[in-house]
Amino acid sequence: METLAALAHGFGVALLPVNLLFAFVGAALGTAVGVLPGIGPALTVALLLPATYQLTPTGSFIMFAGIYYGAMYGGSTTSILINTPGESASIITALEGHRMAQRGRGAAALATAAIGSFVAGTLGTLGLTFLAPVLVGLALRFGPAEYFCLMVLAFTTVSAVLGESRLRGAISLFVGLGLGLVGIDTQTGQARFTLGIPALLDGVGVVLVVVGLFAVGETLYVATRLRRGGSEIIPIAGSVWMTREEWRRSWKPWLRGTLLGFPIGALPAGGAEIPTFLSYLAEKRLAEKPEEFGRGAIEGVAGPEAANNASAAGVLAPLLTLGLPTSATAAILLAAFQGYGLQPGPLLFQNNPDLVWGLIASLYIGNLMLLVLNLPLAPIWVRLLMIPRQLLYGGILVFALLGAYSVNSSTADVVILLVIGLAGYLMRVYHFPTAPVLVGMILGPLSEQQLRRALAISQGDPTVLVTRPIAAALLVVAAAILLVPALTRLFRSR
Amino acid sequence: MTGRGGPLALAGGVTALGLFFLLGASGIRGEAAYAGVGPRAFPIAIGGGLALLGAALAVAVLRGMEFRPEAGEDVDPEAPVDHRAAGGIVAGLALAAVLVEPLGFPLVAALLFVLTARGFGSRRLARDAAIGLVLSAAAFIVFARGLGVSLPGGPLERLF
Repeated sequence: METLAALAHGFGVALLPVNLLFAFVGAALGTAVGVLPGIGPALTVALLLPATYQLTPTGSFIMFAGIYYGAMYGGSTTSILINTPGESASIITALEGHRMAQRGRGAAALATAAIGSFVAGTLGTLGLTFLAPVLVGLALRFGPAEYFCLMVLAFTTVSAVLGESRLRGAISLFVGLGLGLVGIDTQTGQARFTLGIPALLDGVGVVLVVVGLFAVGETLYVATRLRRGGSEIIPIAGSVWMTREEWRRSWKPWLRGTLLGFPIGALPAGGAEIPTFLSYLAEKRLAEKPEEFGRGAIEGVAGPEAANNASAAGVLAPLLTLGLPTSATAAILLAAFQGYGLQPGPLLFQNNPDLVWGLIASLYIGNLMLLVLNLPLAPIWVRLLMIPRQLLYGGILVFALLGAYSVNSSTADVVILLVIGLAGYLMRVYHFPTAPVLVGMILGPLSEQQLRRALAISQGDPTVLVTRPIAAALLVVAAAILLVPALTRLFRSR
Repeated sequence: MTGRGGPLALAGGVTALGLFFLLGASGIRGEAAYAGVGPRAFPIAIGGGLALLGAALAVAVLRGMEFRPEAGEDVDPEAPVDHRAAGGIVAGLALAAVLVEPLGFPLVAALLFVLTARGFGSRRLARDAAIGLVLSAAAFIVFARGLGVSLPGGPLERLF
């Protein structure tokens, strides 16, 4: 009941005209960046960050959440119509969605993606609404030792579970941890690894790293390996509405996708890639006509599209209640909270109910807006793809320069941007995952702080990490994630 | 994939970065430590980790680790790599760092726009310059004037 009262209060905040406007701007921007290549939700939030410090935190986060959800909708449009996923979360959608478009059922594919996204996004937000207070209750029992162990778990999952190589994931994570070291040590006040550059006393800015990796690195990579001739856009054909048969085949995958997406998004191994992939496999196995898979089965669009939206809701649960980011976008959202001097966690729910519950309520509204923006208007969004790449990437770099310079009004930051961009280029050439860099960079300093606090409280007794049950359990799970694949390999080879 | 020189150099770079943090850690004053965990502990752990991971990467490369370049929307992984395209963009960003304060954001961003478009194969200089200027000026007006972001206007400042 308490939750419903809090949610009702949240709707009071979210329905203010100004916040409705922010939700709408976020949803529209998110859909656009979801459709556009070269720019995704993490980069968009990073670019807007310097500008939004003039706004209220509530309005900004409502807009950011709209961008995050919107990108999940927009990404499916390009997957279906041109076979090039706008976001990594939509890669699986392209498998069946594009085949459907080739068979003249593109409109139905877009419809099942949009309605499935709405159903899953709304159910996922419901999940968030009722899971968040539970997690807050759990988080209240967390001390520094538990937080440290939780972050260790996040480090192992984000580097070992995502991506194709655990070694490369670990290197990405440690580079991020190293970046996080730069700046003033919060406990002793001395500068570390600043190379005598005053601009580095505050640390390497998260905005710089995101813009460098995602905008500059991506632009350099695309420039050197540009796909000539462009991709062919399949015009939207067929009845805009799904047939009764297509409805019947869609609703179960929507629900199953939600059930996969939300919990996996909420785990520290979060992100949308894994649940979309699992959902695809599940639908393929459960389909009445498995032979249609590979030739445009609607279940293969409905399930993964529901899964990726549900996972976006899931990712917000640990972010808001524990301050634990589990995807690149969540990492930049955490940085945004820090920029406002807010620390996500139980105290945020207590001290800023307007912000937290207004944000959660706005997710319901944003989902409805996105359904309206995407279902009838898909042909308009697709036109964004007609922007010549020469101009699109030029524009991306104009905003990258703006974002990088404006954080501190410093030309040193533009140089750092270029260096990080070159590193991002190499990471793409050699296929290193980028999310661990961001998670390491943001959680690294927090984990150091928590560990040193935990040891200060225990008066230097390191066993505090293994004698407290929650902390020990978290470490056991982390160890299992690292060791189980190696052990199974060992047993298989025998 | 091409030779192993690149990946090995990368592994060396990771190890070197690790050594940088290890060496730098020795310059940090280490008082206020509990159970040996003071301001030096994390730098040593992270530096040591990076050095070891770099070595592990070198071993993996020598044992034949495959590097498939990342696929992407506008990317053709099979296409011949055109480093000159990136060169112009890198030059544009380096120029932007030097020139943004004396010349102002609108002009310098327009220059970056033109150089990027050229990197992507555009040969229509006048069109690129016109679009670049309009976009940069619009971004300047919205962000600097509208949202209060601090950006240098340069000599054209009074026009906006």
